[in-house]
Amino acid sequence: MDNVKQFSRFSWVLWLVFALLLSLLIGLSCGTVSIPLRELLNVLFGSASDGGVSLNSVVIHKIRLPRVLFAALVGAALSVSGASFQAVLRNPLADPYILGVSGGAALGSVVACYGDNNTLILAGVMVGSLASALLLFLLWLAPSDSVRNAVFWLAGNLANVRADWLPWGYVFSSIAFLLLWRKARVLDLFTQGEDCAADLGLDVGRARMQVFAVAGVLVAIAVSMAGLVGFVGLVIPHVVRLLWGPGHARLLPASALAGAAFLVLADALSRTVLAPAELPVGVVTALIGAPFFLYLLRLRGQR
Amino acid sequence: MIHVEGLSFSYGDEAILQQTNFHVYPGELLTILGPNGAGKSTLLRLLRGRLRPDGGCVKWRDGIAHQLSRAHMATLVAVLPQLSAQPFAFSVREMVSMGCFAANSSIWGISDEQKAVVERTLKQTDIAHLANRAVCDLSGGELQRVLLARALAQQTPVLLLDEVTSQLDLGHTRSIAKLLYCLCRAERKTIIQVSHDMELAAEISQRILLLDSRGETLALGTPSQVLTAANIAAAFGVQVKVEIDNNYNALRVNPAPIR
Repeated sequence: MDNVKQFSRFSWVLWLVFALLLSLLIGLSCGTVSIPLRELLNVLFGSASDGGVSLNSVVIHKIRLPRVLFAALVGAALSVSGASFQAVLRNPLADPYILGVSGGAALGSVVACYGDNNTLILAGVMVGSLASALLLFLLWLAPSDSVRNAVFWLAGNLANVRADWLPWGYVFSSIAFLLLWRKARVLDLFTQGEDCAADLGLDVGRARMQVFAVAGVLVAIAVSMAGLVGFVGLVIPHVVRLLWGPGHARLLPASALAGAAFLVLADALSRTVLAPAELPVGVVTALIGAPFFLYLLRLRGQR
Repeated sequence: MIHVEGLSFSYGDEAILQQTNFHVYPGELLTILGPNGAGKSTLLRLLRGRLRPDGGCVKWRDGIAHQLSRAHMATLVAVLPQLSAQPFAFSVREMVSMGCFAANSSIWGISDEQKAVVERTLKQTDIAHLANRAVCDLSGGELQRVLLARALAQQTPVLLLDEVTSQLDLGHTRSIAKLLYCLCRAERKTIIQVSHDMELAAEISQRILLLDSRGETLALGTPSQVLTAANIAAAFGVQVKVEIDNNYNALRVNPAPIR
């Protein structure tokens, strides 16, 4: 009986790890050239039977493996930071980009020492609009080729994998994740509002600054490598909360796994629908995420 | 227990409290009464060190209120806030467990002893049957009990309450009031509450502190000493008759009728 209880307490890990593995396999097998599962497993785990290096082996090891690992990292980073921001801002519909894009996140965490949440969000909006003004100016200056690249980046896209950055991305994101996970109970308190959190014994100003700084680093890692992939940080924590509750000790790791699986799948989709052309993954996540967001808003309105 | 000495506070030019002095004795239930804007909630914030006074101070056994850390203060005093919306669907048990943070903020969660405290508190506040329900699905009366349970799980000697029964119906108001009365008598909890319900305050409080609209102390003493027609007229500008109901041995405040 106790074993069953223990199992159901941790069953979310099994489900999510399974989903992540499945999505990784799908991500590896889909693309311009579709690689069947049997051959995929053979290349990944089997011995090289034909002595030489097959084309599929090169595609998988040099192109797709870095790509899916990259997608998993970005998805996990965005989801975990999204969950953290939502707790501290006490708004389940907040987005990691709410503090203004990347640079804004860093600036926002500095502003956080001085103001309350509303000023913080306003500051985020201001930094965001300042950034977009600068951006438009730069796009206007740039030659047409770089404009295309910039637009691609703005839409969020996983095409520029830098395999040499990937290990560093994983190292820093893991550290940031552990730092946030340590604060799981603090994030729980934040959901009660800062006033209550302070009365429950939390040094709110300091804790808020720490969470914003670390979650900001996570967003920055994702944004600097993949551009603005929207809706992952908003939708994934929300779905995880609906399935397994809002406690952050579980929400953070579950969001990481679910976010990774989701972005790997979205990326696989973006590579296959118009193959050999490639959609920016941000377009796919927005097409899935925006309707879902509207659905959530309606659900909230009915309450 | 708590010594308030020459406490003054103002928001900008507007003085809220001036030279307020009183003591709170261990195990008493003290009700703060006064008109809107008299600074009752501000006084509660000053008592727990959330605001820094302009003059005077609030002395606790462990030090001066606004100099103690939040974590330290949360082991001395728990606050039962007014009801607010719950956007996150924590279970009642998780919610009550948050009260244990002050005593133990370990990253590994709460200890077995604290789990026992949580279960006991759930029973005490009569919400054990709701333990696995989501807090956003509860009624106002149920949610107020959950918040009270969380405050009790903090295991502090002092409890501060800010108009906790103002949004509840008669039944829930009476049951919360009874619980407070019992906590005070049976467990020697010190309770300081802000309220607008004079009759209920007279029924359960040992003492009442009456503030006037400028935040000055009009009277401090037992309910029958403080709740006189003259004091109430001075505080609220309303003519009332104060009577003793012999059937219930209770104090009744009857305002002059409007028509």
